[in-house]
Amino acid sequence: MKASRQLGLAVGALSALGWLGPAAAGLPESYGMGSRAAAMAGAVGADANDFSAVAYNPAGLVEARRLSLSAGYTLNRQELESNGRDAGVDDVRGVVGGVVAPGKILGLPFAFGVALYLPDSGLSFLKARRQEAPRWELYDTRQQLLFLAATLAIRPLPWLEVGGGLGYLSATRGRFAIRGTANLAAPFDSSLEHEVDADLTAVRYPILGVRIRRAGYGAVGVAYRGSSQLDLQLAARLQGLVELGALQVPLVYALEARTFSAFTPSMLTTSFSFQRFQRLHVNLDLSWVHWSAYESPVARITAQLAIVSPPGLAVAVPAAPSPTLPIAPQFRDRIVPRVGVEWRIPFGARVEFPLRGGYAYEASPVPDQRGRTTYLDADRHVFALGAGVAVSKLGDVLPGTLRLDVHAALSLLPIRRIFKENPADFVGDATASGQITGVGANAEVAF
Amino acid sequence: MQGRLGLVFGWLKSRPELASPSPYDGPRPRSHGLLGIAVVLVLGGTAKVAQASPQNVLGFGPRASALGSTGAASAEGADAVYANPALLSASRETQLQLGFEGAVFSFRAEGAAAPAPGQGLPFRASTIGAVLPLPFGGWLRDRIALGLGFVTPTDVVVRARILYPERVQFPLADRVQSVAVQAGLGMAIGHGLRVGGGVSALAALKGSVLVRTDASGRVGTEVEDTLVASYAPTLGISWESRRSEYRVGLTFRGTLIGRFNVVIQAENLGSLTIPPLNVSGVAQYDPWQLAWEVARIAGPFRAALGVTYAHSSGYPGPAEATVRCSDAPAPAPECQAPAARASGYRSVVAPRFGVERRIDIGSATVLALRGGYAFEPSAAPEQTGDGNAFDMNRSVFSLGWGVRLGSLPLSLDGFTQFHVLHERDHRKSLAEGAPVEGLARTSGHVLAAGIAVTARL
Repeated sequence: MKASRQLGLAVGALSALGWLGPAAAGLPESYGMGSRAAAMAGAVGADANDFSAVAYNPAGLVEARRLSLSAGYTLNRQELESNGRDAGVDDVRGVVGGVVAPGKILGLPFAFGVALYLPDSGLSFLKARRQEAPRWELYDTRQQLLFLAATLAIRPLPWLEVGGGLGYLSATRGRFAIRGTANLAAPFDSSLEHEVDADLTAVRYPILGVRIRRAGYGAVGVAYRGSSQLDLQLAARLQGLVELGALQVPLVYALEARTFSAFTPSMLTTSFSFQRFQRLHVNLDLSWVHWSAYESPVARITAQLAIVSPPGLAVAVPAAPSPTLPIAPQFRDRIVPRVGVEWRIPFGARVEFPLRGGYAYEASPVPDQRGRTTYLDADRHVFALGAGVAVSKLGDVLPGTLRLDVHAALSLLPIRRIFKENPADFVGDATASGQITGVGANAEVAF
Repeated sequence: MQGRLGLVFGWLKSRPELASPSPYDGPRPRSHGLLGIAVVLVLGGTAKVAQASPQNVLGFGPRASALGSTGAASAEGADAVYANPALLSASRETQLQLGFEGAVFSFRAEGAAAPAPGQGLPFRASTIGAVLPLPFGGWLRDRIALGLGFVTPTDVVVRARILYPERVQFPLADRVQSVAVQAGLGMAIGHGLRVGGGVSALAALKGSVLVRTDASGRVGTEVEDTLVASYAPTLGISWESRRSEYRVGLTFRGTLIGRFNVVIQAENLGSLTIPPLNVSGVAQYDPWQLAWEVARIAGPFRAALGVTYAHSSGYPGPAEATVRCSDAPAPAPECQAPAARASGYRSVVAPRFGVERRIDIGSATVLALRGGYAFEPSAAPEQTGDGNAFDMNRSVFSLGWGVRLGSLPLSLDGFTQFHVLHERDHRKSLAEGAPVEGLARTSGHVLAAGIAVTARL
């Protein structure tokens, strides 16, 4: 019966499967949406009117004067360590871009924007691990998610800009089943077939923003992003016969699992952009991030195994696996300050060179890991630099502006020590530290 | 060299004024020109269809859906993203279209061997379309436009429903339950010629589940799965007559497959060998298609007539083999793992036409009344064995309306479609594996409707 149990386990393992759809999560918050925002450490909530405004404050879109198309690439090497050794956290890299289309509707300035981050690794990536396994939860697969959002903005008053839209996620609900006869003596003669009835369900979350501008002084903005997570509900059923020589043993294995994954906390950001001096923008963003709503990513599993013993054969039915009881992670809310500076240096009438810099401090929301779980995390200091060139009126064909931006960022995560209460803990005392280096480039054509 | 470039640019500069106007351009002078309209109707007979995405079943955009899902030569605005991206270049205004559409399905199964039919889940989706003429100057002025099109069902992104073959299924209802993401670019070359290209995207899944004993001796699992995008190209070309009264269009849409493939593997489980279990199949499938159409595109009366060839015979079938001989570590010529069932689908040709009457009702407001018809042959084979995945030929009757407001930069459009699923006999045979001998007769209908508002920015 070990065989049937193991076959059941194989099916049960699917409990942690997450079938994810278009999703949105951490790139704008962690690594910047586009090179301009990344070079200013994300401090652009009151100072973005390109496609990045879709993510930071959609109200800013209405400041755009021309139709613009942007495309670029970002690469962030996550060198995160556990006990001084590489933790194997994947890099975050992919294509970044968007469209902003300004215009007027009913005489009021209006704009429509779409922003996209398309990771190289796919639209989403999920790894499911045991509850005790150490994990860089905030930096691992949670960053490997598509960002896709569409927003609108309008300026009802000369000083007031309002914007809003939706970001998209997808969760999963469904079931699958395998039936037939498993031949243990000749496994590849097994006669099995499967069926799947699953939906990638749509999850939408709001992105809202307001901005107040005063010419010659700058702007103040408030932006809100709703929380989102992937609620994965799966049921599995294996029903069939296990062939043990001449014997056929009927077996039923049923399993239900629920997993919350790719949590993105709600966030409220207040932004200031000081523009009193011509060609100089000094920005400050303060974000309240609701990490305390974070739910454990560990799968909640219930399983049942039923076996009908053939007459004359004593079969010891293994006990059903114990249900997994996730331990609440008890993350803490945090306030993230970000500062950014942009200085645009003119070169003739048609060319300017923007120089940018930024800094952000992200306190870790993860409490001390003294118990069974080991969520690795540390405070993060982000230092960013960037530059660009903008050329206007490139002849008759392109009367608008062509802009090229590049950035580089360094995130330092100082060492954090983890002490376990139980000396016999499966993981034991540990350290978490690392650094993240990011580079990227964006090109924008404004017609 | 300069001379050659000059010739090219000169050719590109020619006839930009003949670019087709934006939607609802109001009544135009009656045309006296004439272009012969080729009529080709090739019916698929008893052939069958591997229908998939919502735009494939209902059309994309309220105008195209009202015109019998035509558009390869007649699409306007954001409708062209799907119908023929070359026609995006005819738009002169930035347009943003927001809409809603839905469909309800009703199926019947009668006869001695008929299983109990099921009702397909209703389809509800929001739609977004955008056309962005790129305001280049010089010789590129008024020549290039970008288009975006989205259909997002209200509650699902993709439905993966691959059931045991004996379960009663009407794939038409399930396979519209998919998000559609499309982008395209159109360019007016000159001399009435337009070309365009684009891409459609669909979600696909690949993953693995590894079961093995870890260093502590406990059985553990490692799960990885990745949602990836699958893409298909869309290419289009069109040509307009000298006075821009008639247009011929040709659109190619590549195969779009939403496949999932999750492999369960077990290692280090003692002497026990468990073969890789492939929970795999094709959840969504759009065969490659070629749509040809001729349309009258000027004047108060407009019409389109076309045919669409769908290469459904390439459909591999929904479920793949759970255990595969090719996964065996050593060659096993006598391996008896059952193979996946072939789909038995065949390629089909669907004729379609649509007519539109535009009426100037004053104050620069234009009313458009539309109607259309399409015949969509079924690509699925007759279900003679234990399989119960039923599909039928469809007649699609469509009606629609549109109002372009003169006082506001807005347009409203709506459509209704009634799909008649023609009766089809399935002669169940014990020899083919059916549980009972006899006849199963299937039929049904689909009612769909949608509305959209378009803002011209």
